[in-house]
Amino acid sequence: MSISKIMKKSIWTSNPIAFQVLGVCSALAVTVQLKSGLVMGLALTFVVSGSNVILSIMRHYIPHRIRIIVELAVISSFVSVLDLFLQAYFFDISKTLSVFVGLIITNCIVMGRAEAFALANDPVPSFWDGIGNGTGYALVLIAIASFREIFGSGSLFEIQIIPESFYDMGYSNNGLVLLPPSAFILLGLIIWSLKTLGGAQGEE
Amino acid sequence: MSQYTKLMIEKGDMLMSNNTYTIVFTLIMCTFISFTLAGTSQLLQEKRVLNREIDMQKNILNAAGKTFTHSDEIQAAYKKLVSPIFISKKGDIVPAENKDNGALEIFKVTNNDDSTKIDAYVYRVLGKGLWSKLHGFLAVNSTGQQVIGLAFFDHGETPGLGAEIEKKWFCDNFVGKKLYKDNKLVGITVAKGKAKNHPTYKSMSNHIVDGISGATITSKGVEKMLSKDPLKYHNFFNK
Repeated sequence: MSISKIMKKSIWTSNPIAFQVLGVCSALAVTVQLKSGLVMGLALTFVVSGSNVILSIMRHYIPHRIRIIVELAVISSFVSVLDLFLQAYFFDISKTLSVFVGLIITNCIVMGRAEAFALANDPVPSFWDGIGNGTGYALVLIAIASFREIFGSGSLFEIQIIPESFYDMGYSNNGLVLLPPSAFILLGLIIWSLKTLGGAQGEE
Repeated sequence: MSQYTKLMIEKGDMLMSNNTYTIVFTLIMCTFISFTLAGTSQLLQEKRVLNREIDMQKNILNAAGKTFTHSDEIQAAYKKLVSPIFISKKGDIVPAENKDNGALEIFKVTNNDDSTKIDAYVYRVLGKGLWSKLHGFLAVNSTGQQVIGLAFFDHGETPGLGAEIEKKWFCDNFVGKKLYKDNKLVGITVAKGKAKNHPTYKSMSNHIVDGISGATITSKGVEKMLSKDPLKYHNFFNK
């Protein structure tokens, strides 16, 4: 499978959130602000592509009865090392991400891609599959987070974008948008519109 | 049947379902992972501890109203301005050697231009939010009654809601507010929304700050923290 085909598949036709419905929990949790959504998307892309490559290299040696445990062990050590690195060299980012770094381990996309792709393909396509799925996940997160930050806090990247005069005229931020149920509704709308546009249909 | 299982069956690889192989594989994998993790942690330990220390120093200075961004500046300013002292439960200053008997730590922050003048006393405060403990530093004046500043350095509240407590706009609300009224600790109320809409704002304006809508439990935690923790230092300031 060519790289462009893998990318198109993972971002558009079988987007991890919209079609595979993986990683939905974090899509609800970290999308109150665009910044945390974006950083989470980047961190996940890094972890999926990295763990995909390692598992793909190991794939001929993993006893298949314990393969889920092996996948989990590789993914969680990958995340732990990443966490330590962030704490040592990018302390501010590690503070912003706080608990979310640990949550990457439980993100179903990482294990889903390891199980469905990396264990059956060579390291190079596995790497691109990780990049594609991470990007697909990040794009959905960015869409939801931008909406929630604009309508929930009137800002983007924590910079006020809805002018003060709007508030004086009686406009107010929508509190519901800040709460998890709104992300669920938005996610539903995104899946619906993607399907209408021809994405999220799975394999042709 | 997954693609992988099919692949394995096609290969007819008996080795992959052999018990001894499985156990040996597991042992090797676990040993390798343990060493990798322990090694990385050990290698980066020094840098991580240093980062955490600088962050602590930054927040102590922040609470006292002195903002620095660069880590060298923070370390230099901390060295120059801040000196920790230890006090006993009765409020007496104890030497650092005897600090283990439940002694409390207070950071004395002196003025940048005049080192004999004390700008603020900073101590730790600990509250309970919705998800997590709220660790912060509270800076007060020499009588311990008025707030110079507040800074939170560790918590796990929801970004955009409870996590707003660490933002500058929220912490700035507390600057100049009073913890005591008629020599009695009353703390500071965190209003729902704007402080000026609070029913008792007229009589208690020195004790009410703007709150965060949608973060009632975190706000209550901050409130409770400020009505309890200063008591521990009461004796020291009233000496």
